[in-house]
Amino acid sequence: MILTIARKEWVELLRDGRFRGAALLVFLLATVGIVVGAQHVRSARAEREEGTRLTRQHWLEQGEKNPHSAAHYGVWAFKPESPLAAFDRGVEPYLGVAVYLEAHKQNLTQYRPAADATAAARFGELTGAGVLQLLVPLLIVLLTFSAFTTERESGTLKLLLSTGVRRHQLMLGKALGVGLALAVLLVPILVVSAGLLFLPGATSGLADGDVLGRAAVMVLGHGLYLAGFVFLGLAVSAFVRSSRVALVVLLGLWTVNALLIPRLAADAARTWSPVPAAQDFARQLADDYERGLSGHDPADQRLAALERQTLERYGAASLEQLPVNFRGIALQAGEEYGNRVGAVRFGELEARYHAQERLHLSFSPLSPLLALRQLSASLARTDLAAHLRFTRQAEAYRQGLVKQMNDAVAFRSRYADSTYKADAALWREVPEFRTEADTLGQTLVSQAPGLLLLAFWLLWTTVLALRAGARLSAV
Amino acid sequence: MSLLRHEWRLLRADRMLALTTTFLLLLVALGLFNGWRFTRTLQAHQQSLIAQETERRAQLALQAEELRQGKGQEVPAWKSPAMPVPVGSRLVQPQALLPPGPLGALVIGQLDLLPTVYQVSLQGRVTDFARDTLEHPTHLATGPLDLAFVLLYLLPLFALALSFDLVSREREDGTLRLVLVQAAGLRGWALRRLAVRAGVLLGLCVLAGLAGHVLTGGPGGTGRLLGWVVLVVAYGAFWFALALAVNALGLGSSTNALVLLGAWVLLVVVVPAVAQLGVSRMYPVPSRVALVGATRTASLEAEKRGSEVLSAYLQDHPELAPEGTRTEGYWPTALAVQDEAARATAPVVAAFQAQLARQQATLGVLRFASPALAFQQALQDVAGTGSRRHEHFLAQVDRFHTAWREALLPRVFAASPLGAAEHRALPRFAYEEQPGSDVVAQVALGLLALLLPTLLALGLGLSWLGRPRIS
Repeated sequence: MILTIARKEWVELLRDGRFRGAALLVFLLATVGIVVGAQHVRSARAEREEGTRLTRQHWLEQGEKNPHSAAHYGVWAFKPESPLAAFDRGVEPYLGVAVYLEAHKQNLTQYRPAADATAAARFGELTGAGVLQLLVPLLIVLLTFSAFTTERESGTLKLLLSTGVRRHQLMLGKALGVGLALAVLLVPILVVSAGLLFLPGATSGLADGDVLGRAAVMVLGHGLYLAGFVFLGLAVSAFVRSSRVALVVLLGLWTVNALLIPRLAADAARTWSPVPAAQDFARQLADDYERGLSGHDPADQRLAALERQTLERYGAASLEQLPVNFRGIALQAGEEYGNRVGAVRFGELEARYHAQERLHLSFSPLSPLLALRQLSASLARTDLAAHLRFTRQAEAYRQGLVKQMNDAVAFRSRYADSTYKADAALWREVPEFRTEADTLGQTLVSQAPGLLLLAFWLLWTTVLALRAGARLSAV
Repeated sequence: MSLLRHEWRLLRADRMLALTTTFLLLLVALGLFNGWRFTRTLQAHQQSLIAQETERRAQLALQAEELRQGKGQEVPAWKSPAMPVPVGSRLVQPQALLPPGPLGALVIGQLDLLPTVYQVSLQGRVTDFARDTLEHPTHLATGPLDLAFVLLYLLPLFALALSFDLVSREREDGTLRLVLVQAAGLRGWALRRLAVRAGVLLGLCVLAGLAGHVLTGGPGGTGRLLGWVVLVVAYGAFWFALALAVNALGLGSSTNALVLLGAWVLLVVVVPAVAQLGVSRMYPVPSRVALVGATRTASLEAEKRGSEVLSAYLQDHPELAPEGTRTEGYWPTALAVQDEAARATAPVVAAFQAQLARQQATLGVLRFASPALAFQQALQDVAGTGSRRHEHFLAQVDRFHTAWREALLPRVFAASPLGAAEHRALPRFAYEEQPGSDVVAQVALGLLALLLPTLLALGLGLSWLGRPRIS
């Protein structure tokens, strides 16, 4: 019975010109989004690989100089572009793409693509994920709003119910029919995406088990989200009296989910857990370093203490008599203090971000889009967490590099020798910067609440639909 | 007139109107509150930055004077307030601040994303002295819930909800004939009906906006406020006119709603996204990664040729060369190297800005394809929170940067120490507001882009209503 209803529904929808037109538009937009996204990933990858190569070359070819000057010269680290960014760019446009690693300070990443775009970019980017998350639900509204109301308005519902069909069969049959109609749209989109991601030569060498697994979970997440909309649409159509009201109610719900709650959540998170202004943050870092984390441990006193300790340790009477270069020791000690300050303050900032994200997620029962967006961006490695992971690795690399340079000053030159210069041999001792991405398992653990929420969303909309179906009356 | 009154009575009895307006007012209030809070936070932050800078400058002047007179504590040269390089590059940290837009509380615009503070130093422009925002990227991507958002996205939806069945419902209820018997004609009747709805909705938005502006005490002049009102009314009018045109087609109410919603999605969601995609493909900005690479290559080259660059620099700037002495030492060389690097990368930077300017220009044309695009740009222009005022600000930052260098470089090369008087003579940044004519021109273009489709929709609607389908 369910299959018969589904087939009737499916055939009817496919014949509907409105659906065909809208579906074609959605398909075109999704395809354009994905193709452009894939091109973007490819060019960004090439660009950043070239940047990495060039920065290494610059480092090696910087010529003879004091190692501390080399540490000041520093290197740039470029964030690798993840393959699934072709489908979902997440918050990438609002994150910097490169960070300058130099002595004495932990820099913020620079160059947000969004700051280099026109204001029109604030309307949102055309991506595969955007189409699936915003426009396909609208299409579902179009598919479902009149599912029961038209039958009631035209009197066929009475006829249908008199055939003895069970009400839940009717509901599930309609859901299946809508699902099939959606599949006509979504399967080609999936095929296009898979082609771009996995065909050899398309984005060569990008597809591996990890990407495949991520793509699968992405499909699952979007499936839960969209299926929930199908049931919600059918439930509303069964609950209300007229198609007109069903349409207005569903559009209202779409607006709340897609436009209103995300902004409300962002504002709430901003208000309840604000982050410091960048200038204040920078000043705080400088103050902490200058006056000490406790506020009573100024840098010059720390230096004097270090001097005493070092002399004692080597049993020397003056800095000149030390077997090591005190300048290097002092530089490294200062560096380590700076690292501590950075760990504390950047740690606080990260904690703020996490608090904001928790606040954000607490709004997702009202807007499953919030949960899906976070899940999808996290799977695509285009979320803040992936970015912070990169910055932490870059910072660890920076600390290693600066330490190597300071150690060279400390242990390969003497205090009195102000002309000491190292050459490419030392620069080559510094390993190349490598990033390590998180595994699918780690992503799944961190995104479990979001996935659960989406499953719960589907569950409650299904229950709602079945209850609405059970209350269905022909008049 | 009696028809208007009648319509008003009908509308008042309709729960839809009460519900819609209450909800809209709530959102408007929330948007205004958010905008006000944003502006207030920004202002307070900027005031604290100014106060800190003033105090810093006074202290440094005092210390420098003491040092020059041989009093006070011994300070290493690299952080001495009497030495021009530390003063110019890290001690004073003069800041160029962009005040919140004149109508910032009404439209936050790009101010949450684009830097409003630049810290200027002796270093070159390409080192990019902007301090970025630390705001959560999700918040930047989502955008704030300000009044502009409510007007741009939600006002059309409210307008459509109030008028998608303007004519079709009467037809479906069978009362259209009755209406026509009493009224002068379908056109006049539909127009009045529309006018009442538009008047209520837009009137509320405008009044709430004005009240909010008065309450929040924005610095915006009457001209800008007037521009804002005209834009809001024009944008709202477009959606009501569109609803009239669709109603005139004689379709059912549900179909009307679908068609109007489709138009909303196309004009507010799809066209802007496609437009942005189009301009960024047509005029791709050179990559920042390439800029980093070019800067590094140039500075490496310059550094290798250090003293050569320095003498070339002094040939260009004979006024900086100390008489009869060779200027050696780290600082002059370092600054000359930076300058050389900046010069070498200038073409990349220029290409970058040129491409962005082309994108802006193309978007200026594309706004005629979507009233939402036109409205967004014009709102930001009129509020002074968009990219135009930011560009105006950036040009001043560049001038200030030049002035800062010009004030200090001669002292760097002459290695002459600073005292209190010299400190006080160092330039301070003062923002000069955009010329009004620039704003007027932009807003007028935006208004034109709003009025053309409105008139088109209205004309089509009225002509179609001339041959009504009654049942």
